[in-house]
Amino acid sequence: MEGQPKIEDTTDYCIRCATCMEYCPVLRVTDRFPGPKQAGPGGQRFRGRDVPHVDRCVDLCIGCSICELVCASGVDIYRLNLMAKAKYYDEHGIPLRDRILVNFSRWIGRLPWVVPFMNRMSRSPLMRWILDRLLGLERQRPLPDFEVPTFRQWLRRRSDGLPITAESSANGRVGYFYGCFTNISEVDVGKAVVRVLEENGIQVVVPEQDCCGIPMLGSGDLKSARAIARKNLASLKAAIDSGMDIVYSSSSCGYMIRHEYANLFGLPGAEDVSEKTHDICEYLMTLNEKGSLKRPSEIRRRLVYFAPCHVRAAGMGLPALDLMRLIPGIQVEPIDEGCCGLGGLYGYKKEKYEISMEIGKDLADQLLELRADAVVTDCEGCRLQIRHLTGMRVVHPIQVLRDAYPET
Amino acid sequence: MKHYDVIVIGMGLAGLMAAKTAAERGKRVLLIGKGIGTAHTYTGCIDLLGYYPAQSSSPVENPFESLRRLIEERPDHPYARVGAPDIRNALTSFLGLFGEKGYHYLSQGEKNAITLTPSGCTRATYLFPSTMEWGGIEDSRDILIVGFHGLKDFYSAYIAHNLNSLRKERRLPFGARSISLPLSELSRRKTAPSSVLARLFEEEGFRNKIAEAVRTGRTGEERVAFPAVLGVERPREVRKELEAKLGTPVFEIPTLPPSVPGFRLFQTFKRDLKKKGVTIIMGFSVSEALVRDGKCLQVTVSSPPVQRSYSAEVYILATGSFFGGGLEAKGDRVVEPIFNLPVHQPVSRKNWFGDQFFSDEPHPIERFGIMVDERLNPVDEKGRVVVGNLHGAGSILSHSNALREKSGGGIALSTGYKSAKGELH
Amino acid sequence: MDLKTQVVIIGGGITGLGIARDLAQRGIEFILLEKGNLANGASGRNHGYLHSGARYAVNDPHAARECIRENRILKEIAPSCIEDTGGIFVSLPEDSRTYRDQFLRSCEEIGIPTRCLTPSEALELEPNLSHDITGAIHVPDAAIDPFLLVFGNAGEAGDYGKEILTKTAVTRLIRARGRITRVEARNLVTGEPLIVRADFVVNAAGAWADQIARLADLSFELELSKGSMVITNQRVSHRVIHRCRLPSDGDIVVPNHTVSILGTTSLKVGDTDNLTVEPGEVSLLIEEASRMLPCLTGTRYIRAYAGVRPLFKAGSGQDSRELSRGFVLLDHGVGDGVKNFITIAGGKLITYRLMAERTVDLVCHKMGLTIPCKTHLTPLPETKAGVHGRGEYLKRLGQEADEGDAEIVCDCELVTRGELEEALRVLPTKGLGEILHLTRLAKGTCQGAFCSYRLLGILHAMDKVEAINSNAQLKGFLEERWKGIRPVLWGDQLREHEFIGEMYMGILNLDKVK
Repeated sequence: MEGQPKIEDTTDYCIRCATCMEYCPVLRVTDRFPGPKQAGPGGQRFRGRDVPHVDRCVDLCIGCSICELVCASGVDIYRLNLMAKAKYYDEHGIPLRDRILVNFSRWIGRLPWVVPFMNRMSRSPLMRWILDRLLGLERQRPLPDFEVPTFRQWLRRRSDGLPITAESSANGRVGYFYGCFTNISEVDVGKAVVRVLEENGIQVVVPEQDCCGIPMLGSGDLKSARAIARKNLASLKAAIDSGMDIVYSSSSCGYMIRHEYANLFGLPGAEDVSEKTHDICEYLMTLNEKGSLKRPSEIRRRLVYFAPCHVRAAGMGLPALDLMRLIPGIQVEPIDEGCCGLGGLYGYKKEKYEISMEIGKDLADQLLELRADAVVTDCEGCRLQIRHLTGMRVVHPIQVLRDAYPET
Repeated sequence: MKHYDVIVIGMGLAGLMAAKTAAERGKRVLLIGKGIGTAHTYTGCIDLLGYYPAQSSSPVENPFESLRRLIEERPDHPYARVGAPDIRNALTSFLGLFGEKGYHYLSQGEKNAITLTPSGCTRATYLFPSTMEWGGIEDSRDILIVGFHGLKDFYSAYIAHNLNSLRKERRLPFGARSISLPLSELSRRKTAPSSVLARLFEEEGFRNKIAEAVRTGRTGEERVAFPAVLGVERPREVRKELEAKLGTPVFEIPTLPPSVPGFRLFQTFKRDLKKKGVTIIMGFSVSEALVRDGKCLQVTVSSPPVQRSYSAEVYILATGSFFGGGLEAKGDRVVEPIFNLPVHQPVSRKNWFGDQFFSDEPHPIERFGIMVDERLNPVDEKGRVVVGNLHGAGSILSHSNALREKSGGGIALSTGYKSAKGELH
Repeated sequence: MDLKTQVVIIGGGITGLGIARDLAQRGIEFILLEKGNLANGASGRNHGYLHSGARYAVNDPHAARECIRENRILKEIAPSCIEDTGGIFVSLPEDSRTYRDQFLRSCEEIGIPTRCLTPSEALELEPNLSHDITGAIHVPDAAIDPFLLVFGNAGEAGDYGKEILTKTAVTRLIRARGRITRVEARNLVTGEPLIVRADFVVNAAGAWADQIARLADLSFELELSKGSMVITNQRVSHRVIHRCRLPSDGDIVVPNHTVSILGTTSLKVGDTDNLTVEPGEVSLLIEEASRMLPCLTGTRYIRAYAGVRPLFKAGSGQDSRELSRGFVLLDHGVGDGVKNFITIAGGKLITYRLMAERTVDLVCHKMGLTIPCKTHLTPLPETKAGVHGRGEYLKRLGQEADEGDAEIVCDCELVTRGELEEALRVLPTKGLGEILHLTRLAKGTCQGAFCSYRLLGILHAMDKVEAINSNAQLKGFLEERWKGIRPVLWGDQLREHEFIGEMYMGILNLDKVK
C-alpha cells in the first residue's frame, strides 16, 4: 500500500517497552510461546532470506492482533510473526491436517450432500478418536453442526421465484459476502441479514465468492490465501463497479477482505473494494445516521455483548453495540475485552487445545456470572468457543435486530 | 461522518483524564489512541512534584508549597497554565476513580511520600496505590524482600544490598534482607513478564505456597516486600490474604516495565470511561486533521486501508512526547505530526542533549514540546493561537522538566483535567 | 610482586594475544600486561571485517596479498569467529570503468578469486542494493567477530591472573647495558606495584606503542587515524558491500550478527582516549553508504563508535589512508641499542597472526632457537560464546528453558543467563564493560534498556558485586552506552532513549543517586 511502511521496516519502531507482552493471551497461559515482542520484532532481527526458519514457536501465535492494538510504536507485531510463520511452513511444508482443515468449509459448501454424513461422523466418539490420533484434531472440542440446505441453496431457491419489485429495491442493492461458516453452519445469520436489509428496502445480491482466505492465513499458508483473495477480489470489484456496496456479517471474513487483502497482499483493486465494504452493523448505523433505518420494535432482552478481536482490529468502534442499543427494551452490556481463545482453527488443533481453553477461561467465568439471556458477538469463532466454554445461548447482533422487526 | 462533542487524541494519563472530565460534564466523547499509553511503562504512582528545581537532588517535602513557587517562577510551565486549584481538583477527580473499599490510591496528606525503587534507592512520589502503603522510609521496621527466580525485572538481593548501604550511611532507619524463591511455574519460561506472575497470585493455591515459603525464609523481619505483582483484578484481596497468612504488613515495590500497577490503573480508567459512555478506539492513529481558519473541522483515523473521519466541537491533543509519536525527532528538527503545531526547540540538533546522560542539568530536549497559553490552546513563538478549538495536555507540552522534577503524572492529570473542563470551550 | 619469565608482552589487543598464543605453542613462557581490558584499543573498535584483500588490490598489492593469505588461514583456524558472508563491490554510474578493469586484473594477479555479476543478479542476492548499479563483483570477504578472536587466542595462550594480567599498566622500562632489565607496572584496581623481569620485551601496544617506546627512551612516530562507524538496527545486506573505486570514506557496509556497520572515516587525531563521533562523520557515512543501499537514508541507527588506527609513519606528507597498512617490525637492537626490545606496529586486525608469527620468529632467532610457527595450522578453541549464525540464536526463542540456564537476559540479542554466567567466570575482572566483549549483551536495539539492570541483578545474585556502589556501576555502564548512542539520537533511537530515561531516571531515580 502506498505511503505505508513495509511490515519488516516496522521492526525498527520497536523500543522494547514490552507492553505487548503484558496483553498477549498466549504468553499468559503457556511457556512455549516467547511472546509477541520476541516472536515479532525481536526475532525479525535474526531472520533473513539466508537464515533457515527454525523458530517453530511462532506457530503458537493465535492471531488476535491485540499486540498491534496496544503497541504505541506502531509495530506490525502480529504480521511479523505471521510472515515468519509463513516462511517456516514454506520451508517445512504445511501439514496434511492443516491443509484439510483450511479447505474443509469450502468443500462442504460445495458438496452439501455430505452434510448428514459429516454430522454423524462428528458425533461418533470412535471417529473423533481416529481423527484425534491421525490428524491431531482435538476430540474434546465438538465440531459444529452442518446444515442443509446451505445458505446458498436457500438463497437460490427463494430468488428463483422472487420478483424484484420497486419496494424491495427502493434503497438500492447491496452485495453480501456471507462467508463459509454462515453458509454451512449458521444459515440463520445469513437469513437474518437478508431479512433486515429487505425490511429496509435494500435488495440483497450475492456476488461470486469463495472462502475469504483467513483460515489459510492462520495456518501459515500465505500462498493459498493470496490466490483465493485474488479470485474474490475480482468478483467483489465487479460488484462495486456496478454501483453497489458490500456488506459482511462475519467479522473475520470482513477483516480479511477489508484490511488484509490490501495490507498483507497489496492486491490491486483491494483499496477500492475496502472503501465500499462494510460491517453489516456499521452499514445499518450509517443508515440510521441518515435517518433511513427502519425503527425496530420493542423486545425485552438482557444481553451481553462480546467484541471479537477482528472487530476491535478493524478500528470502527463497536457498531454492533450501538445498533442493538437502538432497540427499545434491550439491555445490552459490553463485557471487558480479551480474546475468546478459539482463533478460528487454532483451538481445534490438538497441540493448541489446552492453550485455547485456558485463554477463554476468564471470559467464561465472567459470562457465567452475568446471567444474561444470551451472549451476542459478531464472530462465529467466538460463538463456537463461548458455547463450548459455557453452554450459553450465543447469537449474532443481526439476529437480535431481525427479532426486533415483527413478522409481516 | 460521526460527530462528537469532544475528541481526545492520546490514551496516556492526560488523554484518559481529559476523556473522563469531559464525559462527566455530559459531553459525548471519542477517545482515540494509537496504542496504550505510558501507564504500563511506569510505576503506577502519580508523581506530583518530586524535586524542585529540577537540578535539585533532595526531594521536595511539601509539593504544594513548591508548586506555588514553581507557578510563580516558571510561568511557562504546564502547572502554571493549570493553576493550583485545578491541580488539586484533578487529583481529587483521579482519586474518585477508586472506591475506598477496594484498591485505591493514598497520599501522605500534603507531603510527598518517599518510596523504594527496584534499585534499592528511594524516590519521591505523591499518590501511590494502597498495595504500596507499607513501603515508606520513615518506618523503622526491617524489610524482607522477596524475589522470584525467573522474574527478570526485579532482584531482591540487589535492592537489599543497596538499602543496607543507605542504612550504613544512616540515611535509612531500617535494614533489609532478601530471599529469592524458585518457581516451577516460571522456571520453564524463557520470558516471564511481571503480568504472568501477577495472574498466578490471583490463585489461592499459589498464594498459600508463596506464603509458606516466605514464612520459612523469614527471620524476624516485620515487613515483607514483593515486586509489584500482587494480583491484577483483585490486588486488595491478594494483599490482605498474604498479610493474614504472614502476620506482617506486605507491600509492593515497582518493577521494570511492563508495570502491573500501571495495568490496573489503565483498566480502572477504561472501565470508568466505558461506563460513562465514552467511545474508545484503540490501536489506530490520527493520520490527519483538517484545520480551516484556525479551527479544526475533523480528524481522520487510519485503520489501513480504511480512513474514517470524525468531527467534534473541541479537540484535545494528548499524544505525548516522543514515545508514542506525539513529537517526532527528524534528522534535525522536532515536529508535531498531526496538526503541525510549532514546537519549542533550539535551532540545531547539537543542542538537544548534554554530554553526559545522568547530568544534573536536564537535557534541553526534555523541555521541547508544543507551547500553549492559559487556555491550553496551542500558540506559536509569538503567543498567537494556532488552532482555536484545540487544547494540548500532557507530556506534549513544552517547558516542563518532568523527568527530573518527577512531575509527569501530575502534569498529565492536571492538564488533562483542565483541557476538558469546559470553561475553556 | 616480582615475576620472572622469558617474554613480556605489552598490549592486550589481538596482536599481543596472537603473540602470546604463538609463544605458548612454541613452548616459550610469557607474561602479558594490558592496562585496560583485553581488546581495549583498535581490536575492540574496528569494522569486524575479514578482508579478501580486494580493497587493496589496485593501490597496495603487497597488503592485498597478505590479506588473502591470512583470510584463508583464519577461515581454517577460527571458523567460529567468522561468518563467511562473501562481499560485493558495486559500481555506480559515476564510477570509473578503468578502475574496475584494473581491479579485476589486480585481483587475478594477486590470486583473489572474483566473480562478475550483472546488476539483476546482484539485486537478486541483495535486494536492498540501489537500482542504479551498473555492475557488481563478488569476492571472498567475510565478517569476523574481533572479540571472539581475541578471547579465542587468549584462551589457548594462558590464564587470567597468571600469564595474562589486565588492568595492569606499565609504568617504567628500566634500561641498562643495552637491555631492558626490568618492566615496572601497577595494578590499576588494587594499586599494587609489580615488577617483571624477562629476557625479551615485546611492545604490541598498538596506538600506545610510541608511549611505551618512550618509556625506554626510544621514539618513533605513529600517526593516529580515527575511524568512525555507525550501526544499524537491522541487517541491511547479507554480504559486505563496497564501492568499486579507490577506497575512501563511507564506502563499506559490513554485516555483523544482527546489524550492519557502516564505515568508515579517516581523521587525524592526537588523542587515543575520549573518541567521539562527530555529527559530520555520521552524516557523511550515511550519505555515502546510501548511494549503494538507499534504505540507509531512512533506517534506524542504534549506535556510533570510533577506533584509532595506529599507522606507522614511514615518511611524511601522506594521506592517512595512503600510509601502508602493512605492519612494521622494529628490532630495537639494530640502530637503537636496546637488544631485547621489539616493537610490532601498524598492521590490521586480520594480519595479526602473521604479525605475531614474524615477531615470535624474531624472538626465537634472538634466543637462538629454531621452532617453527604452527599457529596457521592449529584451530583456535571454540568459546561457548562463539555461536555464530542467526539461525542458531533463533532456536533460543523456542527451546524449553532449563532451570535458570537458558533464561534469556538480553532480549534484543538473545543472550542467555548461562552465557552470561560463563562470561563472568572467565573474565579476569568484574568490570561490566568486558561483558560486552564476550557476549552481545546490550548490543542490540535497546542498547541495554533492560539487560543493564538485569546484569546488575544477576551479579548481586551471584554475589559478584564489588564493594563500590552497584548503582554507580549501573550508571557508569549506561553512561558508556550513552556515548555511542548520542551521535545517532533521532527518530526511533531517540524514542528508545526517552524510554530508557523513564526507566532509569523515572522508576529507578538514578539521576538523583550520587
